[in-house]
Amino acid sequence: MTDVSWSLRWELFHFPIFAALIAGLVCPLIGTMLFLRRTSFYGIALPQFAAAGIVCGFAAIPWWFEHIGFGGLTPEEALADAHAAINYHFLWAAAFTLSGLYSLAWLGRRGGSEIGRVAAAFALANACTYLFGRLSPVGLSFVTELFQSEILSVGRHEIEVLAGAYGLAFVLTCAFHRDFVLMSFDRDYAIVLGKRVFGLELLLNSLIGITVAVGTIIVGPTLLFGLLIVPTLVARRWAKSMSALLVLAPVVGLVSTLLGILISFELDLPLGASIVAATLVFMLPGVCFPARAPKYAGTSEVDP
Amino acid sequence: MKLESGELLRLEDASFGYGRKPILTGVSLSIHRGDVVGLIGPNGAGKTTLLRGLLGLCPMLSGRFSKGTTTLGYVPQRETLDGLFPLTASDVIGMSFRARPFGRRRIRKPDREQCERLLGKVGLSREGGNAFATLSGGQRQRVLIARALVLEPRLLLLDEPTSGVDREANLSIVRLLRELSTDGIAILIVSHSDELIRDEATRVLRAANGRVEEAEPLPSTRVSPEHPNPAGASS
Repeated sequence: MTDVSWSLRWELFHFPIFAALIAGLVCPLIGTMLFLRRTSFYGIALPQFAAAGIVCGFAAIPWWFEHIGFGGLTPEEALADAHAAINYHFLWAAAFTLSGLYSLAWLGRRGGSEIGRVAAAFALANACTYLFGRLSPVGLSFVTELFQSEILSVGRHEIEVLAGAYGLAFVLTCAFHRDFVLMSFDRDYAIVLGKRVFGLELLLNSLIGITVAVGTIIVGPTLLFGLLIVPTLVARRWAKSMSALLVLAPVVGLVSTLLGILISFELDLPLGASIVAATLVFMLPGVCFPARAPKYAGTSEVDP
Repeated sequence: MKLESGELLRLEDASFGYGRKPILTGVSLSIHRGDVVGLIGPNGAGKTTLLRGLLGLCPMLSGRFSKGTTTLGYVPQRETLDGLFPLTASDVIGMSFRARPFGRRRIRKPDREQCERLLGKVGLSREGGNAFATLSGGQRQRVLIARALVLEPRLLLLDEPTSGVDREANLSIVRLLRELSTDGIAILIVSHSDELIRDEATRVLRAANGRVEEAEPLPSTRVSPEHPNPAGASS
């Protein structure tokens, strides 16, 4: 693709580029919330739930057509129609993602190993993907393509859905970030202050669920994994305050996305995977020069 | 249930627990202005459950509870707070401003000045910009006390305020609590530290076997002309 001009690339692929940039901005912000709640691994398990939901949706098409219908369309027509297909996939992906997320959150309140729970959830969702895949080989091959994160086929309707859902997630996360931080840092104190913690947790989990469900369908799980986790880890190393972390993570996500687009087009590599690979550039300083233990900042009047 | 003059809160025959299982039963107590109450007892006796019950963090299964218009300040155990968050000491204190109604939560200049004043009060006027996670145990505890003071509480509830801090830090926290008590703030301390309760508490509550009962104040460890050989002091 190296002999194609950038203006032609832009003309051909402006929708995928927009999709990647939107994901690069919003996913790291949501990933910051996952990180602060020590639930970064959800970023790996939840897209797998979404994938299982999409395959289940394919397997359920005959049942859906018989009992609910596709607004007068046949199943083939519905899947060929961009709007109907994406809405149908989103419904199943969101149902499975939110079920998985709320189950993990509910089990988390009962104690035990978070990592063990998330690993078990990932294994279960993975198994379900293949079991439902036996019922719908078309669904399984659709999801397999999603996992490759080749997002060049993203069109106008996908962009509209992505911009709408991610715009909502971005605005609400920015509006409530202080409450989310308070509740994540000291849940009891948030309750003492009169915060409606249950409602806030429901809101945050719903935003995470929507982000993952829409992202899995439109930009694919691989790009989603990378953008939810890596930019926050990079930003945490440099951020000296909460505001800095919340600004720096999306900035790292956006710059990685731009770098990934460049790599993808110049070397003719899958766009999503290239962006995730580009985030590693920012990880390298942390790997080569690990952070030192926090320096004791004792300069108070009383403590030595 | 009406509170008497000077009374900040009252519990009558209350039981607290989780689910339907009571952990504490038949708890009756009253806290007045100027009280410094020490709550002691073995592990698992229900000390923290009582504290959480008073704060509304643990459901009251039966009985009556009244706190009138008393504002409660809460200082949790600092070990429960996550060092992962890149929060400064001022950020932590500023969390209390989130209690305000929607639309009045923006931290403005007077709020920042209040933060600085409270940091000065707890002896940390130069630490506002430092990361909370990098402060020493005693300093973090004092930041949490400053955070509770933003609400201008009439009763301060502290969960193990001196656990795991060195002697110097312990003394600084004790001095601070004494100062707050002098300012007229009533204090309820849950502590394993006999020394803290002996020297500071004007009243002692003992939790044991699912009950909380008033106990005799413990003899002070402070050396005074009247008590040349205080309890707990080595001979």
